[in-house]
Amino acid sequence: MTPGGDGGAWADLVASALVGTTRRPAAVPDADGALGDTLAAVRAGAPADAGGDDNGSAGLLAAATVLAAYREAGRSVSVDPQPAPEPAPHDGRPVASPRATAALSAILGDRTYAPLLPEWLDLAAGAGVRLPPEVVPTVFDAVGAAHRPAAVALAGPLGGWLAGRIQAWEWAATGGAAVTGTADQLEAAWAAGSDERRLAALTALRDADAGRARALLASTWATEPAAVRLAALDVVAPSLAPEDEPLLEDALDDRRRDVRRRAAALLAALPDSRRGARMAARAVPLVRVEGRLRKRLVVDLPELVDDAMVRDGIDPKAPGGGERRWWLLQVVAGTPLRAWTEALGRPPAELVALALSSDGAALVEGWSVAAAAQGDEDWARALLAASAPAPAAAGPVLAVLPAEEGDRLAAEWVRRHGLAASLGLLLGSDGALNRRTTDAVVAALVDLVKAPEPPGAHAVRGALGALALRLDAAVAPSAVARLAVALEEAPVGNSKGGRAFWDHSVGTFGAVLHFRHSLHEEFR
Amino acid sequence: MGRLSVDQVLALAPDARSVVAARKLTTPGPWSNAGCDDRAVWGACRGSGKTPYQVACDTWGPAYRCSCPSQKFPCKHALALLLMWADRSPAVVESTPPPDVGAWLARRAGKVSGPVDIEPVPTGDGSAAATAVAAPAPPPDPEVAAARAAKRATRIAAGMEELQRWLADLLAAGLGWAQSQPYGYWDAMGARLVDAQAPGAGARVRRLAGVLRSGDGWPGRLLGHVARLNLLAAGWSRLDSLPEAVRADLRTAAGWPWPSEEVLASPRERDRWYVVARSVTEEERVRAQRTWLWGLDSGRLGVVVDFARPGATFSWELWPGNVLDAGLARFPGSAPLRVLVADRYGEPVAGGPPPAWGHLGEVAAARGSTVASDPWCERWPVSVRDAVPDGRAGRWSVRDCDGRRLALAVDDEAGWRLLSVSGGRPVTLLGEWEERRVRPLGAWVDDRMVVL
Repeated sequence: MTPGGDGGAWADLVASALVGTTRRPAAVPDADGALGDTLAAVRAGAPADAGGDDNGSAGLLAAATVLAAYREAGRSVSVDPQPAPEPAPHDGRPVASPRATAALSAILGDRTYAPLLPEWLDLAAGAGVRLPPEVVPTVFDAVGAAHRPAAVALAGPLGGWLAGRIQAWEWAATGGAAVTGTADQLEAAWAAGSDERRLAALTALRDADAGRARALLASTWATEPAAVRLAALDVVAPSLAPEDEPLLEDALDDRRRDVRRRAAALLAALPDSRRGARMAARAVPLVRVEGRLRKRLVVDLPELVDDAMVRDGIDPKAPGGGERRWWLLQVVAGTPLRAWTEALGRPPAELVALALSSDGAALVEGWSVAAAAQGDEDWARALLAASAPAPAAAGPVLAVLPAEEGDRLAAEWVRRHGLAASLGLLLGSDGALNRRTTDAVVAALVDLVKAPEPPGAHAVRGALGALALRLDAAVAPSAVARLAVALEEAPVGNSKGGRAFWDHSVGTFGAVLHFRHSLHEEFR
Repeated sequence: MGRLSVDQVLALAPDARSVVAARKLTTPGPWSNAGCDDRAVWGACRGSGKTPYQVACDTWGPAYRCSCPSQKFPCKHALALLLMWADRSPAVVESTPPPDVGAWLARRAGKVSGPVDIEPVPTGDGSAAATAVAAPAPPPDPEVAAARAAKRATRIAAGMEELQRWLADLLAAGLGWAQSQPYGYWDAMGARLVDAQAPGAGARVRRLAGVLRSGDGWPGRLLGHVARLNLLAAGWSRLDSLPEAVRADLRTAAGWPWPSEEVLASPRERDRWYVVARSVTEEERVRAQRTWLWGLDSGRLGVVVDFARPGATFSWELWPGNVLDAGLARFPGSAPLRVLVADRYGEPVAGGPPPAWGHLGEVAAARGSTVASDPWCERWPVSVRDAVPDGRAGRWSVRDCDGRRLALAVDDEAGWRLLSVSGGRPVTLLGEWEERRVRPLGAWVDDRMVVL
């Protein structure tokens, strides 16, 4: 960028100016052509302008003024031998619409909507569009590890191209989790490479050929480091099958406690496992039906926790009081549910009713955990119909049921028990809440807002943010209008209810619901 | 005025918190009687008080009116209303304005016919002084005005004479010595120039302190700035012997504002003006926005400079990628870039691919010819075809089709965004030339304008 033609004159002037003309007197330089003529005129004029005893600072100033203007006006851009960067491969998908992009900007820039990023990514993937390139860096920075594969897929080849330039996005170079190839290639990928890449290969192989993936994992299990063993169990979890039992049974003897615990938790979802049989042998003898006219369940508590029970994942230390009840709960939770119907000769609904009318709270609690873990619909139905699970445990039980049925049951639950007592049920699992439940929630909320001092108001208000993310957004237009009216009609308010109490959180609730509604409309 | 995009409305927000607050109000819930016609948007928004706030926005202004007590301008209610309108929310119904809004619009009708309400300091480089916004001039008595102007010219010339001595002393002592001086050394001279009614020159002196700390090669850069200041002072010392255009350049560089009537007296340049880029800088508590225009028929360039105090926003009609059929009035000078939009002929429309130079050498040459006649011109628009942004954190550059390369003046966040927009493929890069670097402001890529 250095214009030529001043023969180093500028550099001389800068050198003089830096130390000062008092120490390094400066002369007006020479140059060729018109520049030289102008400088000569400066030289002729300088002594007259300046006082004389300044060692030429006025002359330096005048010469610099000429040369600076000359250089600035002649500034060019030089060619750099460094080649152009290799471009990212072409992505033929259309860019997300301007409205969808505006919504994404709101999600990325506004904490209220930040939790909607996975939903946006999901909807965009369904619509077959790609991320607008200008937001890819922001999305990569914002997205949680669990949703990286979705972000990478939406970014397309651009994601990998960017990732090659910055350490922080290295994960995007492997496509988040997706490693593709034939089964042989995936097996080879498992043999060597970074842990992340090996586990991605294992995941892909499990999708393609689960049997081969099982054999592969078993073949190297003993030599894998603990972190990989633990992460491999996470790969197994989403597609857990009875065939995984042998590896998990072995893992109960693992050197690492967290691997042992994770294996036990996975085995709890396999009722036909050896662990299930051992649990049944421990639990069933503790429970019996007594009474002639009025039947009741009698429950004995376990006497002790032996090594075999600890191996099966039973924690001998109660989180707070009631040690033997805690042991019972864990044993029951690990027992295959069908063992109860077989041993006691009664269907689930009857057993649940008996337990509730006897002193069987711990039993019901254990059954609730078991129903969720084993995905047992009959038991889930029976437990929920009797409103048996504790509020905090009800969500996972609900998740067992088909969407339609779960929706009806949850709506019924909200109507019967009120919103405050339904929060565990509604928010206890990851599933979306459907139309009937949503209607019931909005109706209950409208009633709460209008009531002067409703019980549970604080709990409900604290949960509104989470509810807004899970409810069916299709109701947004009517729900927002009804809530606005309810706020108008609400009593003025205090710390336990009324307009001032609800105003802000109900406003945010409506805003998020409405935002999601527009998002779904946009991607439809 | 057609409907704005959501992005355009967001650009009106005085700060990020206003956007957050406004978005929460974009549900139909709190709104009643919201409506719009081809000029205005209005509605009532329920707040925490008993009476809903009455909100109205005049999209021709833009102007906002709200009965809320907020100091923000526009407030969150006006912003929310505009967001819903831009997003075509069904809550905002096409109708006729209620009487009070109609009356307000009628009162405003006179005000929007003139292009400017306020006249800020015109500086070629956007160095807006605190005195940027001059009060609208009272109807001038020609004799009084001439006497006042003569007095001001004398004061500025005296300040410039002092400046020239100060600069010579600086070079006698050496730039190395100046490096050890506190900010007060520069501020004192800057303040004296402000007192001498040359705030533009004052701002240039204060900026020298920053050049001192600008890293490798600072002595050369500082000497360049010192030289330009000296040229300004030398010019003022023989003002009367110079051509009128040069006198105008000297007046502009010194920071003596031009009254809008004087600017509007210049001949109109009617063209289809393509909005190439917009930049906003904040200097001394005033935000300055430069909107670069490129005449599609004449190839002439112009820049509209707007000033806004914190909490206020700029006009919205000049949005990058749009074309406005308008007659511009150019400020006086030998190669002036600054213009006012004097006459409009219709709405801004989407303009397609931007006009652009073929490579960076052409940009530099075009800039050089302007700098040759107006050495105080510092910023210059960049619109260059087939440009490839390159680099990684902390080292951003742009490469043209022949391999010429310039550093980019960006932070890493914007750098990654620009890199991502191009994906290593050539784009039309839009921005501003600033101290031998390019500040990227947008890109035309895949048939759309991306504003950075």
